[in-house]
Amino acid sequence: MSKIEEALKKAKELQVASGTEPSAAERSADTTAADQIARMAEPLRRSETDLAVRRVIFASMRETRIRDTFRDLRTSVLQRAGASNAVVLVTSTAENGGGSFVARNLAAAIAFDENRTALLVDCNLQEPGHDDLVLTEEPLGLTDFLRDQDVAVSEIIHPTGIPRFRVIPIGRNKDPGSEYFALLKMQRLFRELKQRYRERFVVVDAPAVGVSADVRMLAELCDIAILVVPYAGSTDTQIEAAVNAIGEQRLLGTIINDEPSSAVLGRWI
Amino acid sequence: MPTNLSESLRLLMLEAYSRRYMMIGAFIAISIVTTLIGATWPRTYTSYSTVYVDDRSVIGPLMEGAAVQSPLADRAAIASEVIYGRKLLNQIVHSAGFIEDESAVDPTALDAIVESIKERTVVANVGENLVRIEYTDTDPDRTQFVAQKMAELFISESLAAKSHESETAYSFIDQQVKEYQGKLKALDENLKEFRNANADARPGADVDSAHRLTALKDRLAQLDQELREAEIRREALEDQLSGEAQSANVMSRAEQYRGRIAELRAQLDTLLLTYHENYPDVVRLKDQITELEQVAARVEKGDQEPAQSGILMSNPLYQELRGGLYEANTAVQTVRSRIQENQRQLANEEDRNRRIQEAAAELAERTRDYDVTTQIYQDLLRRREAARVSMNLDRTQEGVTMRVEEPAFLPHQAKAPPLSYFASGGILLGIALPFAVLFGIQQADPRIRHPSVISERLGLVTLGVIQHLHTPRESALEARGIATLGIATIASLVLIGAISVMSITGAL
Repeated sequence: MSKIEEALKKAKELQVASGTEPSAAERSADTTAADQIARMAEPLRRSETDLAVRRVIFASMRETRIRDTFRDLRTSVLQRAGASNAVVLVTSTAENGGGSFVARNLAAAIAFDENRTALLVDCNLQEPGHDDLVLTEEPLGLTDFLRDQDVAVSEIIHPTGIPRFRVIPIGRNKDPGSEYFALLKMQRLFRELKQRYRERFVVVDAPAVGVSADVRMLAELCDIAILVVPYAGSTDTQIEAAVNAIGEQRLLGTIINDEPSSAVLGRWI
Repeated sequence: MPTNLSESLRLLMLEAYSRRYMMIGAFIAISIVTTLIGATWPRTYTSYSTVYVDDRSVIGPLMEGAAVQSPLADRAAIASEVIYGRKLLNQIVHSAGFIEDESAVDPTALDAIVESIKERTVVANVGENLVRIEYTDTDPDRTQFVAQKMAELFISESLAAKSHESETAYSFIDQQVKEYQGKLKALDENLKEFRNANADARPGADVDSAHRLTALKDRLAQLDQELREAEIRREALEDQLSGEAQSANVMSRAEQYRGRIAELRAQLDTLLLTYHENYPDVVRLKDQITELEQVAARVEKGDQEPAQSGILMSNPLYQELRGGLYEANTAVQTVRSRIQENQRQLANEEDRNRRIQEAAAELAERTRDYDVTTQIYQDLLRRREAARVSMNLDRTQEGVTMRVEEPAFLPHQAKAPPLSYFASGGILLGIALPFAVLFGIQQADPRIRHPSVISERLGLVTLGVIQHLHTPRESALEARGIATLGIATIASLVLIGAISVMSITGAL
């Protein structure tokens, strides 16, 4: 942890302007991961209420059980990834199964760790839902990059106002009918996203299995897959079908989402 | 779904909470509706009247010995037959005000009313001769009225039936009497004709005849004896006569006179003892004696001329014997002819006796028929009089064998399950039923709720369970919702209490 502390000190000293990707010069091979993270470190621009409204977990939240569940999930992902970083696919067995919620908070949990950064990629053409994390209005996103030759990767990665947590929104060209994810460009993008920073974990928010065939193609591009099972929303057969769609060798595990809870009675029930 | 019971219950609680509006709503609805049902549950009143029944059949005692009576059935069953009868119940329906508009009676509605009355009526034996008619209704006055009316109608119906029965019995016996009367008359005629045709066929004729036969036989035997005696006398006289000379023993006429004179003198002496010499008889006797003495003197003088006076100078003994013989002969003849007569009479009597015997057998047979018929006829006459009395008793209903032993009372105590049962039961049901339904849904729903199912059934790794994350707005709404539900629950409990109080005080 001494390295991290050092990096934090450095970051404070340098006072690097946040909100922009590090320049090409800064991305030199000899710079350490800690230095790089420190350089891209950004202050928390979101209030706790702001996060709570967007259903994003944070360290000091009241619902510790939910926070800890995501931490455990993150740990599982990290263990599976081993020494390297990974591209993690999050999909759900049914529509509105909460795949986006799990993907967003898995990224947030990864970003808790100061040695790692999280990049959330919204690949859910049917129900894109991460624009609220982007600080700017009408941000360029994945579809813009895939469609437009002129859009650079750096242009579609946006800060979220949460340290170490960035997001690639769906973009302005969301056309559910288009076969974006079969493109070679998509493969190159993912490779680049993963390989540019070794500490960066890419979390892919994929549409629900069965809603779109996209999830099969996206799974091919990912290292790890997490299957979200909505509480009282899927049967055995739906789960089995989803596992077949994403490939069992890639599957880290299933997680049940949206078990009923009470904000008022909290831990009593 | 999860095999673990505590996990199942935890999920049940969680889902119940997430469906709290529905759960509380169901609770309020169920508990209030149940309490209202309890409050409006019809209060029933029960009243009964007891009837003393002595339903021995009229014809039974009347025909005792002459006919066999079927055994008595259960009294309550007989009473039920009458009370559940359509006739009686229709009267009840019309008199107890079950129908508001008499002019527009729907037959099916009437049927339904009659059936419901039947269902609420219980007829039971409570003692040897006591039948209890119990009736239950929602109106205490009507309950009493119907229970009383049923008893009265039952009695009047039964008495009418009884009266009819005794009339039937009377007319039956009367008819029998007439029949036997005719029969008897015919037999009487028959007997009379027979008697006319057979004069000897009188009662006692045979005895009479037997007596006469005996008398005739006795007489015959006596006559035989007499004949024998007469013959013996004749033989003796004949023997004596053969040894006596025809005139040897003839007495002289003078002696005859003298004898006569002696007799007269004796008579005269006797008279003189009593009478004077000049008493006519004495005078006449003296004259006779004098005359006879003169005659005797003349006879003594002329003894050798017997023929002069024409008197036969034969042997007097011989004469006497001859006379005796003659008499004896006559006696024998007489007895013989009497024997003949007697024998003829005897034969006649025997003949008659035989005829009497024959007629008597025939007569005995006819008389027996007649006697039996007479006996039955007299018996029937007696019974008819008894039946007439019974009939008159039943007609005037003085020979009361049925009466209301205990009249129906006005019930005050209503029978209804206590409201507290409904109120508390409603609250419990309001809690239990929604939970039970929810539990049933959870058990039946194939959708997965617990990670253990995924790991156990599909063999997949489960990474955890994420609870629903509330936004601040959702939290605020939830808090407000819970407050609302709490108020609603308290309000419903207050309402249940109010309903209970109103119901108990009778305001509802």
